[in-house]
Amino acid sequence: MSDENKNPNKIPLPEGALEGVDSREQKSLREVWTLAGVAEPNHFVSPDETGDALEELHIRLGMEGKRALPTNKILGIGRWLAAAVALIVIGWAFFGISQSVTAPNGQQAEVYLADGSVVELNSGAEIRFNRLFGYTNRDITLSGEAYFHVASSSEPFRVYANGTVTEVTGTRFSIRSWPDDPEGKTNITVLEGEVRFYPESDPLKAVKLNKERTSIWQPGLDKPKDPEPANIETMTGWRDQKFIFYEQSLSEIFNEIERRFDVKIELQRSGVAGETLTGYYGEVGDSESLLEDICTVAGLNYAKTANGYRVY
Amino acid sequence: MKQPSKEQFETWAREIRRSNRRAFDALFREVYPGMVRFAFRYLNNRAAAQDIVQDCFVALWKTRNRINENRSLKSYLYTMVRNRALNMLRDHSDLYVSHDTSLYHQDTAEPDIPDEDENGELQSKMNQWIDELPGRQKEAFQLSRFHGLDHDEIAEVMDVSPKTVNNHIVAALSSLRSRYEKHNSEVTNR
Repeated sequence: MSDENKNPNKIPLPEGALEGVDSREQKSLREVWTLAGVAEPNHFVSPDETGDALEELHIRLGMEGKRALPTNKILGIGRWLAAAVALIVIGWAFFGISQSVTAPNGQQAEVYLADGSVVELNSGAEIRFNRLFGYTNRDITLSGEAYFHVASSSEPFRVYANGTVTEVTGTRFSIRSWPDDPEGKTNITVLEGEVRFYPESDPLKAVKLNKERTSIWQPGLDKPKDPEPANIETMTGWRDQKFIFYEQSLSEIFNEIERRFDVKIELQRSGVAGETLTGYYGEVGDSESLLEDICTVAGLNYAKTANGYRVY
Repeated sequence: MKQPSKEQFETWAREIRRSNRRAFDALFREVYPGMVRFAFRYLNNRAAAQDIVQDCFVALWKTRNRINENRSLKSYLYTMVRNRALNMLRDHSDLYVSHDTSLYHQDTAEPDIPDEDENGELQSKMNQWIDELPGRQKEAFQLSRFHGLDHDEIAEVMDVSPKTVNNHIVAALSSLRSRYEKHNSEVTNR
C-alpha cells in the first residue's frame, strides 16, 4: 500500500453531516474541512516504525516474526479435543514432488500457503500441491471439504477435486468434494469474487460463479449445474464448528459425523441411507447428542460400540 | 483517500476472531500510524502514544475469541485507545502535562514540509486551533476528519448519540472557520 493512500488529507466530509445547515454556510464549512487536513502530518509514523512496532508486538505475543511456509495449525473441535499438528510430507525430493496436508478426523486444519493464500480444511480433508506452488503454479488437489481465501495474483489458482477444476485469481470460496460421496458430487460455493468451475476433462464446459452462488458437478453431467443462490452458512458452518445439513442423505450426514468426531458409525438398517434430513446445530455438544436427535427424527435406534455407534 | 472499507474491517474482525495472524498483521499495518497519532493528541508524548497502541493490540489478540462481529472493529480499537489514554492522563497527570506541542512541532521525520512559509504557518495554526477546541468537539472532529470514522462509529467511541457527534463536528467546523477568517484578516493587514 502506498503512503499516498494513508494521506489523512483525503478523507471526505461524511454525507449528510451538514444537513440542515444553510447552503452558503455549507460551502465555507466544507472549505474549512479541506483546509484542516494540513494539521495532520502524513508521515508522523513512518512505515519503518510501523514494521518495528509490529515485530515488537509479535515478540510480546510470543509469535514468530517470520513463519516458514507453509505452516499449519490444527483447530481442535471444542474444548475436549487437544490440538495437534498433522503435516504429512510425502516425498523428500526438492522439485515437483507433492506434499500434502491432512486434517485428521476430529480436527480441522488451517494451512498458510507460500503465495499468501489460506486454506481451512474440514475434518478428514486433504490437500496436495507440489513444491513449486506459489512460484511456477498455484495448483492444488483437494480431497474432501475446504474453504479457500485466495491471495490476489495474476497467476490463476486452481483446485482439482474429483474430476472438477475451480479456477480463480483472488477470492474466497468453499468446496465440498468427499471421495465417499455416493454420487461423486463436488459442490462449489463462492463467498467473494468470481470463479470458473469446470469438469477436468473439458475446460470449455465452464460455468462462472460470483458472490453467494453455488454449483455442483458430478460424473455423468455434461457440464456443471447452472449457478444458484447459495446458502453460505450451510456450506461453511463447519468453519465455526457448527453442524448444518440441508436435505442431505443420512449416509452423507453420518460420514460427516464420523469425520468431525472421529467415530465409526455402522448403519445396519437397509433402505434408509438415502433418506434426507435437514438440521442446524450452532453448537454441537458431542456426537452422541447429535446422533440421538437424528435417530429420533429418522425413527432409528442406536447403540454404542467400541469406537462409535451402531444404528439400526 | 483509500481508507480500508467497512467490509475489509469486517473481514479482519472475522479472521482475527478465528486466530488468523495474517489478518491481525494486516490490520496493524493499516491502522497503527493513525492510532498513534490519535493517542498522541491526548498525551503529547510519542513513546507513550506508541505504548498505548501496542497494549491495545496485545489486548485485541488475547481476547480475539470475544470479538463482536456485529460491532465496528475500528470503533472498538479507537475506544480502547481513548480509554487508555484518558486513564493514563488521569493517573499520571504529572507526567503528561498538556504543553504546547503539536504534532507539527513534534515532527521528527518530515523533510517535505518547510517550516517557515505560509503553509507551515497555517499548519501550526490549524493544529493549535484544533487543540483549543472544547474536548468533545475536538475528539469528534478528529475521529471524523483524520481517522475516517463515520458518525455511528464515533458515537460508539465517545458513548454519545450520532446526532450529538454531528453537532460536535459542525460546531468544530464553525469554530475553526471563524479562527481561520480572523487569522486571514490579520495576515492581510500585516
